[in-house]
Amino acid sequence: MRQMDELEFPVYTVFEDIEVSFADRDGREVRFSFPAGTARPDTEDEWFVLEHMLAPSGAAERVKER
Amino acid sequence: MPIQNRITQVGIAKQNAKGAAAATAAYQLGVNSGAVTNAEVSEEDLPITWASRLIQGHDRTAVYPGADFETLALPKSIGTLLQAACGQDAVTGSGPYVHTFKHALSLPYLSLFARKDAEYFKVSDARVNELELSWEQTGALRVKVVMGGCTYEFLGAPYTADADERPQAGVFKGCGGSFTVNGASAIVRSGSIKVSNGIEPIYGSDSVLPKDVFPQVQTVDVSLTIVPDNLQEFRRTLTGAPAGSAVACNPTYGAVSAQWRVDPDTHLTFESSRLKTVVGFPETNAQGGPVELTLEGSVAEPAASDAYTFVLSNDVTAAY
Repeated sequence: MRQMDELEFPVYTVFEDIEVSFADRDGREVRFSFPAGTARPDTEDEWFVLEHMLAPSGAAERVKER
Repeated sequence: MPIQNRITQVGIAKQNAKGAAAATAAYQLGVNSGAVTNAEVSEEDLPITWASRLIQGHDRTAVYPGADFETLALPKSIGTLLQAACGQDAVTGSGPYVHTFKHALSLPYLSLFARKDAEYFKVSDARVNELELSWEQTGALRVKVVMGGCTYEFLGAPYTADADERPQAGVFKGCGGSFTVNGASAIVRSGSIKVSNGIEPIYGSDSVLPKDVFPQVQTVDVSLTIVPDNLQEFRRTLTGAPAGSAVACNPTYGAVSAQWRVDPDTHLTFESSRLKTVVGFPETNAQGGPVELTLEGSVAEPAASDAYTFVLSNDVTAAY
């Protein structure tokens, strides 16, 4: 897993406290919780959840200007 | 003494990982019909000859554990089934809790417990192949589930369920909910919504049981029987617009939503904003009566939003 010192991820606004549950490619349960407010992903997995799971439904939004 | 078919129960539990079968069922339910567990056996005739025309023996090539049953969509357990069928759950709120289920690349594994009279069975490392919600007017929402798994067990003792979910606590019904087609309220007489994952068992050479069950393309098919005020929906699907005149070169997409309720805090909503729809011209009935249209749709992924969501409001605090 790549870390923040290797990749710089976008910052997101999370509109409500939210917990996400899904299975990784091996079928293992993965859970992430994001409190309402600014979310700064530390890992690619956190970024993936924010960008591809929460942003499409409007639960999170990428901050345009950094 | 014969076994009593009326005594049929099924338990479901999400596994944390493949190979980590659940010890207890999270929810136990009754069923309407179908097989609460099954093992589909593939056997072939051995092709070898001898000095007769008779079969010389048989070859068992595969055993596919699974289940294929229909039950009622109940306020808590439907979340486990929706997450297993769709792939992800995101929960918000502080009571009621709002669970949003939608597509994910992978699918979780389930353990399935089954009871037939005084006999008990278990299928684990299972994934939901198909989940179909269906309803007739205000009748209770039903859910048909087809699963495929990797292991089959004959339990020596009854399994334990953490919670029994029974219809006495309420069932989802269209009454009090809402149904829209392309943003407008519609008289929807009946319908179905089917999520299919194309689960494929993977067999090796050292066992007749699957090594894994693997998802293929996910399709979501919607069928609605509506009573329209006009045939604009037929025209729209052919031309791309309710008042269009030329048959369009491309498919027509639309939006549908359906909501069923138990009470104001407990409801289930399906929405899709990109549903390819086809409507057949209504059949004539010499007896007369209101014309019904059947809208058949298939969900496609939009460029920048969700293809579909099931939103479940209930009192389950954590993500499934």
